[in-house]
Amino acid sequence: MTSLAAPVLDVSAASPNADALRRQREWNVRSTGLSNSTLELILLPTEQCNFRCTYCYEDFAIGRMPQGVVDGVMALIRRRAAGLKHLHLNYFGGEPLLNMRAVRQISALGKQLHDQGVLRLTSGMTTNGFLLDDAMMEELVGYHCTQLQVSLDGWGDAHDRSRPKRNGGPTFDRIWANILSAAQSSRDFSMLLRVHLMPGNEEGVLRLAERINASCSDDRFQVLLKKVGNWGGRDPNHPAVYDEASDHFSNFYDRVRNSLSRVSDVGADESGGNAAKAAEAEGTAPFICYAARGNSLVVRANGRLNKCTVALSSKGNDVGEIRADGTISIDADRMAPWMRGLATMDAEQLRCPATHVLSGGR
Amino acid sequence: MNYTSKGAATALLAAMSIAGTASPAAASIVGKPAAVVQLDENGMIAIAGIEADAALTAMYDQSPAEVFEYAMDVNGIHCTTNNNAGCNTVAGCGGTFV
Repeated sequence: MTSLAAPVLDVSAASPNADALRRQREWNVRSTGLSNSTLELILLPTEQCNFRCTYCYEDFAIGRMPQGVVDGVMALIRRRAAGLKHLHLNYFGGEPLLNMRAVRQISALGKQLHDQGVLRLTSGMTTNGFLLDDAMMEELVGYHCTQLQVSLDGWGDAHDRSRPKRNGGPTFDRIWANILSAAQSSRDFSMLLRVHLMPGNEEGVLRLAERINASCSDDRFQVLLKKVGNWGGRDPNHPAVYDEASDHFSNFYDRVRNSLSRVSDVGADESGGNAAKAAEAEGTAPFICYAARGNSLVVRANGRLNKCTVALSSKGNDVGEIRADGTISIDADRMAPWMRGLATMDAEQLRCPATHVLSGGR
Repeated sequence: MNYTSKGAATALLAAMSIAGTASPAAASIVGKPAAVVQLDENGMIAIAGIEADAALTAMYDQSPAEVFEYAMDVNGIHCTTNNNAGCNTVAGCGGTFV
């Protein structure tokens, strides 16, 4: 892989290298966000879920992706394949494993194009892990869907309190068994264990950290610590959330972080994470959210196109639709604000365009 | 889709350059960047009417292969995307994938 990171430069205002660095930064951002060589599709095979997490922001108003939308996604991939070098399929939901029929069809096409040497396929999935048993892992890895993310709220009851099944039943034991099964296999995957921090689950999270260290110690596993936020969930049992600036949160975060042997710094806090900040400080790799990129689209189960996977019910996030023939229609006036950072190079607009777009800052 | 030409690339450079300034003339472009960047019905990105990879090459003297290598480095190998609004997709997690 060619490394195009800029060499260490003298960036003092008087230095001619400051202009070179600025141009390098611009190029880095724009080649990431505007290149037609890559296409990322974040696909929601279903917006239904077998869980009812107490802090979930989704409204579950839309069901499974109908065949017409699946056909449209596949047709779009076929239309673009010849000009693509990299296709990234990212499955989200709802719980994507509840509609494996769609995942299979779309992934099989991507794999076929990869195997034919037309493009390189990478793929990931955000799943609650309940259905991620050994057979499912085998199938997903076969489709190059190797970048997996599973959320945990603590050990045992701590998890089950806030991540119950739709019928209220427990979920932790089965998920943990699936994670152990993956860990004991020799498959090539990466699994990000997203551990949520919220008031009341401190003990459960610390116990979980011990078990992760003991059972998920190889380099396929990473842990991401995330504070639970309030993103619009309407469950009356929505947990309290930490004030990021509070000493209580900082102490909890530090205790968990120090107890883990493998933890991802990137994205560890709401302002972006230490590693990312370091890269940003170097001046070569500013954060770019996928929603800020022109070559990334969210395909909802109903065929509508979004930019952001969080603000699913926001009108400004509804930027177009995909048709069964694989063509798309885009509302340029709605699409443009998401990509504004690519023109302005404003760090905040690149980092999280949603906060700017959805607050009406157009 | 229009492909690059020297004249178009020059116009593009001007447009993007203006977009990066704080002048009153820039405000209209910054406020409505759809005029500069748009997607066609295949999801292909064009910048001021120029296919995007060609436009990037014209703007920064980097070949399409280099554009791809960089984009892969960021998107495919080391995913540095991170949505601070609390996004929980793999794409948004900021994790590093090999």
